Amino acid sequence: MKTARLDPRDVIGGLVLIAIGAAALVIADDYSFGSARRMGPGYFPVLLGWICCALGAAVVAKGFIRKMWDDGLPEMPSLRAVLGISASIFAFILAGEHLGLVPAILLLVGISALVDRGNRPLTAGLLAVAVAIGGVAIFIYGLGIIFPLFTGGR
Amino acid sequence: MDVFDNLAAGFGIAFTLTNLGYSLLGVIVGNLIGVLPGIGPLAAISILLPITFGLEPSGALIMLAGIYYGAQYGGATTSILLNIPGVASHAVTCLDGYPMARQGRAGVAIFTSMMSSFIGACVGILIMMFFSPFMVRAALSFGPADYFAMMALGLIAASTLAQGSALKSIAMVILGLLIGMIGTDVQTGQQRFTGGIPELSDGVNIVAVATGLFGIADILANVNRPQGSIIARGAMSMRSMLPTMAEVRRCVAPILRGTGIGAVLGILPGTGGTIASFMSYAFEKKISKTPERFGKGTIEGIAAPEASNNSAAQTAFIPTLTLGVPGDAVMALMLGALIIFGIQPGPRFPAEHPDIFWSLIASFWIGNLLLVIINIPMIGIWTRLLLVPYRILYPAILFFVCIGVYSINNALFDVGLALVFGLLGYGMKLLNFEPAPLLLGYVLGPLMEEHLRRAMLLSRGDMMVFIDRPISASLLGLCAALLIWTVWSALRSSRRVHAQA
Repeated sequence: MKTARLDPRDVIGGLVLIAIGAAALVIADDYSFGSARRMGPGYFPVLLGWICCALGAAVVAKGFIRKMWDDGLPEMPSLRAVLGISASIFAFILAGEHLGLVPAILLLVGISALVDRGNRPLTAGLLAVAVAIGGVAIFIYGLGIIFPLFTGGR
Repeated sequence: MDVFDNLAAGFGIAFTLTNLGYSLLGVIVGNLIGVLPGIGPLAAISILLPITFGLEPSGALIMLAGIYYGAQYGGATTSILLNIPGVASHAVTCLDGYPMARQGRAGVAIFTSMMSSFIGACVGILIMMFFSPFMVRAALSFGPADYFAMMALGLIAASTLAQGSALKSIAMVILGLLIGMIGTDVQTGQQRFTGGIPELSDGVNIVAVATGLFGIADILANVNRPQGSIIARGAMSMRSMLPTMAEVRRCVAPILRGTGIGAVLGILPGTGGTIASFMSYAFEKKISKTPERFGKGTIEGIAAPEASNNSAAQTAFIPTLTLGVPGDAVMALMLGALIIFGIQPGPRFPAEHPDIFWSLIASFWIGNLLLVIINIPMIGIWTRLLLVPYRILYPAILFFVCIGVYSINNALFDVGLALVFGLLGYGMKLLNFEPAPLLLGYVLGPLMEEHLRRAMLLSRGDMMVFIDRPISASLLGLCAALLIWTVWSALRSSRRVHAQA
């Protein structure tokens, strides 16, 4: 890191903030701004959009000043975790919509468990069955949450 | 005395069998979740929030509050045994708690933290009982400009005083405020930032935001990461937990000082348990005759911060309930829960819902007592539970998150939203942005906008109203002072680094 000229965390984070602020400004342009006395629905969001952009720029600047860097070293995102956990939740949503709660839990727990390298497929399967049994018992029969267990592929 | 009549009535409600059951359930579940590494009170409350929605408001609040301070007690246990603070406000407890555990004195450390927590909490509740009516009277003279200034101070204090870069935290507050804008504008009915998605017209669900930022993001960050090893295994006997008389004497003054620091910082907006525990630890170290013992397993280093963060945890309810202005992210969640129950916290809340207000206070007494009683026999079970590896736990936690978020509106859309916030939270973690200010901004966003609009309408668009009113002027003055102090200390520390280089 001795040779690094910028802290990527600040530069990326700041640019994202500028993008969000700019997007807010563009979208809020359609809402009536009003006046200070009678603020329209666009007034506060536009204010926030400008502040967001300004702070984003300040964070980018901070990334170029070595003595203001955060402690610790930047970490790479774990693609395995992001893809695996996202896939498991997507599976839960799709299965919950079309197949029912039990298949949804089996998919959610089974897929997400495999994200950890220490879990074998058998462990993941057993865990999925156990959570499905316990989960249905607690949430459906115990707390009375409405979620069809099986819908048979609608 | 009025207070005692009210409290007696409150105990009448809290002592019903169902409410006692909710309190017990809350503290046990909170305690359990506080002990589990990787889940702090914020995640615990946000994951369990949906479960309470089927209950009566007072029962639900009693259970939520139970989860909250149950997790507070539990968080200290992981700090001591694992050197992993369940939540930031226990980070200081690691400094002396973990060394004590390594010296084979984990039992004494846990017992001390429990007793200090209990004393801190008791004093905190007493202050809450007697100070709230005073606060209510003061709050009735608050105008919209004053509320706006109060919230601004809370947001600025929360982001400049907490750990991490103040600049980045303030940016997160603004991002939170922007996310709070999503939905239907209350005054004009205009849809804002919904992208035409009908599910967003009521705004982003608070449980989806909180479980995403704190539950899913934590899983993303902790999966495949090596776990800390546990020092003390198996059950602990009562005898091994008792400190010596000399140690008890050494603790008394630090507990009292910690409680005082915590109580004050709990009431102030934006400062909470974390700052209170750090400050009281630093204070004890400064005034100690033997500061070199701190960090090597001294008992005062546990007693002071634990008393401090628990007393702050209780007094933090004062501004949340009487002003409707939460001081930290946990309180913001509580506020969100109250609003979901159709209760608007504010100066009229104790008078309009005395049953809820006072039964909540009564349940604080009951819950804290329950915790002291159940914590001792439970520690053996919790430490064994810590042996369950994280790779088995997190898929189950993920299921709790999904079903919990779903159950609020019976909507799978919200589960997807939680995933979006989970990914956002993970990205923020990697880029070193704090999630707590975002949640605080998100909850306060719509309120701030409403008060700003009202203040401007009353003053006919004259910005001077913020300076003319003494309350708002002094609050905004404090905001400015905090900002100047933050910038100044950042510049000074960078100059010092420069001088060393």
